[in-house]
Amino acid sequence: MTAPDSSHDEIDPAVIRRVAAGDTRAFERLYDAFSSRLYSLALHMLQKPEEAEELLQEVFAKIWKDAQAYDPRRGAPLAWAITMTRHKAIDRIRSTTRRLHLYEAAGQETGEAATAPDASAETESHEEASAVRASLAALPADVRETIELAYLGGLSHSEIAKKLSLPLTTVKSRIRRAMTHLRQTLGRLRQNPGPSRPLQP
Amino acid sequence: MSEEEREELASLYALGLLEGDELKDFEQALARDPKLVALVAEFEEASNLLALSIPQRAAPPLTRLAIMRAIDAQQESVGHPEKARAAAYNWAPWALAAALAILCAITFAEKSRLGAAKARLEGDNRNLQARVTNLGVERDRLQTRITALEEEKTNLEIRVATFEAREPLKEIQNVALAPQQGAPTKSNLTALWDQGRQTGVLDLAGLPPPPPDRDYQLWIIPSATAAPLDAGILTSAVGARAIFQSPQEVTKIAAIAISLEPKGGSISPQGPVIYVGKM
Repeated sequence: MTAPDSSHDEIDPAVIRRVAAGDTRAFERLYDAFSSRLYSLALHMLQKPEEAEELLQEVFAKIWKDAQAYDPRRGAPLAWAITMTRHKAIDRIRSTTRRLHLYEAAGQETGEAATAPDASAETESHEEASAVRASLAALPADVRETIELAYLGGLSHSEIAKKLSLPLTTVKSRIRRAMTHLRQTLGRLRQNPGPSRPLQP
Repeated sequence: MSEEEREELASLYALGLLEGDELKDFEQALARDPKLVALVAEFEEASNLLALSIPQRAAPPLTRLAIMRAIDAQQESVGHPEKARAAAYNWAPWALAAALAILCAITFAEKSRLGAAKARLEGDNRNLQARVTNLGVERDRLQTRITALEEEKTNLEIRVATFEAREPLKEIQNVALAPQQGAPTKSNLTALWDQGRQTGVLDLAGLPPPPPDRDYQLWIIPSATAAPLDAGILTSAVGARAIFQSPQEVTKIAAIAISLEPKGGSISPQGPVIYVGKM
């Protein structure tokens, strides 16, 4: 199993326009560029490969169907696809009662079977990914945990407050702090673009 | 809204965490603040960096195959010339279906409207029924009151008629009670007797208190039997007016008398009779 070269992350909005026009070759290109990212995100959030696979199919079916709805002013194609994947994953998580247990399990299993990278597929050389990981590592552990629960766990701020036994204001404050930090990281990535700029339009 | 609040709300919104009034208020603010829109977009993009931090795994190869087959199948279906022709010539059933759909939609809308009107009228009807019930209760209450007032009116009319039929002055008799041997005063006591009411008033002015071990007792002597009827002890009424009544109805009184009895009075006169007034 091999992952496509992550430098393909950079997809021009014109490709989306071609997909919207029914160009299957453009769609294949899009799939090859985004599928690993989106599948990894889905797998990380849902923890089950079969569910992640189903979700990936749903996301690409939606991209094929709704490509004309993509607005380049609102972000890069990858950001659009990631947002779509995350929302669909959250819908799935929220449709079950297993949300809290799921992310608790995820916390325990991080780096294990469910989310462990495929050695042959992992693309650690990706500069942006490394920069983001380094940036997240710079956050205090409690702030990082809070933003991960919100973004990847699909928990609401009140659910996070309950899970971490914290006042809601503290949760909100931590989320703001993490988001501000990520925003600064994004700014740095924009100023010093590497060979690829995954989230840039 | 402070800059900190803006950032906090924009962060939460970008993550899809705002709910209820907070969400509504923020979306209203977004509608009139392009800078806030830009801030949210930036936070959304920044939040997606978290997805990049996840170690990548390749999607299963069969997934690609499945998706591409589904897309190809869809393309073939839409692009097939025969199907396209058939679609062109078979518009009539679709038009009929569309017409039926519109008819259904109109029927449904009308049904909804009538349903709402019916529900409203049923509500009004329930309110009116409750009002009618309340008015019925009020009517019964007033009817009862009217009956009571009419009864009272009848009674009053009877009383008025009775009073009108009477000649009060004829029925009231004046009697002077003359002192007898042993009377504490030499002057008469005066009494008035109302035959109709069987009630009398005795003026006790000038009557001194009785001896400590004695009481003044009033007696009514009916004409028919001449047996004295106890009309009460006068002790407490000394020096004032005493109202007395006959213990039983007396058609005609022969006399009124006062005797000096042992303390507490007697069933029949035991002591000396000190005043007597003949009618």
